Amino acid sequence: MSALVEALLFRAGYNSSVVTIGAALLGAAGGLIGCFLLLRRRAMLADALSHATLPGLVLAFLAGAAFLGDGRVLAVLLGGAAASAALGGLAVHGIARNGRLAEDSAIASVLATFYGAGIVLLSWVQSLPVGGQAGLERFLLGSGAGMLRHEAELVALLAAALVVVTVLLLKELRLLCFDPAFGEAHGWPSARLDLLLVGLLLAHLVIGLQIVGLVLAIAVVIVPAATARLWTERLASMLVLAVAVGGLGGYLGAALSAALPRLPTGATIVLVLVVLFLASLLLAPGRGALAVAMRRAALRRRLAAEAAGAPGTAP
Amino acid sequence: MALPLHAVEATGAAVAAADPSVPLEASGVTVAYHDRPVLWNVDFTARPASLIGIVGPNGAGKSTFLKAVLGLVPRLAGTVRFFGRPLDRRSGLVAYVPQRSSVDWEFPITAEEVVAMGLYRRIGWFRPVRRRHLEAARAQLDRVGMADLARRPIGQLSGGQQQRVFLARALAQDARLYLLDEPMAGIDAASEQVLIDLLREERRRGRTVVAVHHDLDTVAAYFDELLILNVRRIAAGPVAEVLTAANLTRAYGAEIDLGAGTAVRRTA
Repeated sequence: MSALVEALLFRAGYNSSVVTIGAALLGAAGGLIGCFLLLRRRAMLADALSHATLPGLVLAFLAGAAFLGDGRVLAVLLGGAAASAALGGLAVHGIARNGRLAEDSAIASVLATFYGAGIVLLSWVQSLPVGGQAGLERFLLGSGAGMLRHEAELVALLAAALVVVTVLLLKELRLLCFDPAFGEAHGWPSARLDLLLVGLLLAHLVIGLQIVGLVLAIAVVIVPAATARLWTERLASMLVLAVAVGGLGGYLGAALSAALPRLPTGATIVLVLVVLFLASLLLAPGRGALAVAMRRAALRRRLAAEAAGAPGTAP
Repeated sequence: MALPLHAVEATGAAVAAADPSVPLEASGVTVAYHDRPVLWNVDFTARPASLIGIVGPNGAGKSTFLKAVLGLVPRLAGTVRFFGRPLDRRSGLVAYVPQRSSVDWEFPITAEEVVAMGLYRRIGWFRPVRRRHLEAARAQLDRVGMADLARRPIGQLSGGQQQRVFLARALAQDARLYLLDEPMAGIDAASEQVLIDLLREERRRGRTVVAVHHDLDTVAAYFDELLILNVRRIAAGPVAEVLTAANLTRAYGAEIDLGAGTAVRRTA
């Protein structure tokens, strides 16, 4: 317990503090971007893209090992991850646009294909006589403990940059998600804005790969937004809440995993987020299960009172 | 209409087409979804400062015509000029009101925030919506009689109120030509009256309105001119001239009974 308190108060060493700050900023950025993905009904795209990073990651490791003598160069790994996620995104777009599949089917097919290919490549690489391939597995579920100081600093910085870019585009993204036909007719190109939104998502997934991992990356993007949506009918408040929820999840999750180093960071962050989501599902005013049940009970009471009191009179 | 631009401009018709007082001049507009034509070689010229209705049966290409002139669906052929020039979407001259069913009304947004979207072009890229923009949006909501619902989430408004919000957004754009897709569909009588009064007011200010309309009972009362469509252009011109039983039969296929007076009734 005291280890957790130390981590929460940023006293568990500089490295762990930077990872925690990075995770919090990553959660905040995820919450912000996730709101727009959720409202554009693109939530599952995050899952396809994150799983599609795996083959690129493994191939980049091989390329690094072959040409640079070391497969673990982070920039090369993340570059490979981004490239194969982008390819996955193009595949989804191409299948849904030109083929005869709906976008959800396209997403499912691409996710399965890329992730399957990635896992096969990963198992094969494990058997190769090169060093360092064991480190690849931490990209699956995320591990803050394995990060170097400057890596964690970079994650924090880039996550903050994503927040800034998204905030600059709030108006444009709101228009894209609410009424793309109106936007398009008045010179706000929805195809380019969609590309931008997917670009922000892709950047977030790649930046967060070390801390959150790829398997559960969708949760950091979507769960804070879904949680926030339960509490409000206004986009501005939804964005603020999603940032707060994502930030809190990242902070608590990273601190927990720093205190209990055997917990994968990504999974811990996701569990914290899910607890917040379930609590909201139950307790949120308006859309929460409890509030809805209470309003229905009140309706039944009113109906019963009217039936007993004055039959036939209008309310 | 497949001619290159310089060839078209060499003809006399192109001189008339470049008239900057003509709000909308479309010629030879053709649209096909895959290999099925939905609009075939449609010519249309909008008279300035008039209320123009587009009528025709389901699947006649009425909404597609609006989308095609705006370039929202690709044209197989045809040229379109707005105020004598090719469309510049950011010019602010043309305001488009999509069908109400085209947006997600569960979206977390208030009425005034929707109306403020009409000001986005003037606000510009990357700049935030400020308090004064929301105040301007509320002024437009006041014109459609919804000032007291400005802060209401749009999902809690009735169909007629939602359509009024859409019209307020178009008014906020302060355009010279309005293209409205089914503005009267599924709304209450009070909202319909508010809408038509405002459109008439815009006409008095010299603005032109082109609206897709589905109710033949009210076309004669609401519009000055009509474009009757059924994939092809059936007729276009002043209501009194083109709203004839013959034209309607050609458009709708079935018997259309023209009753006494100006109102045209469709038989069951």
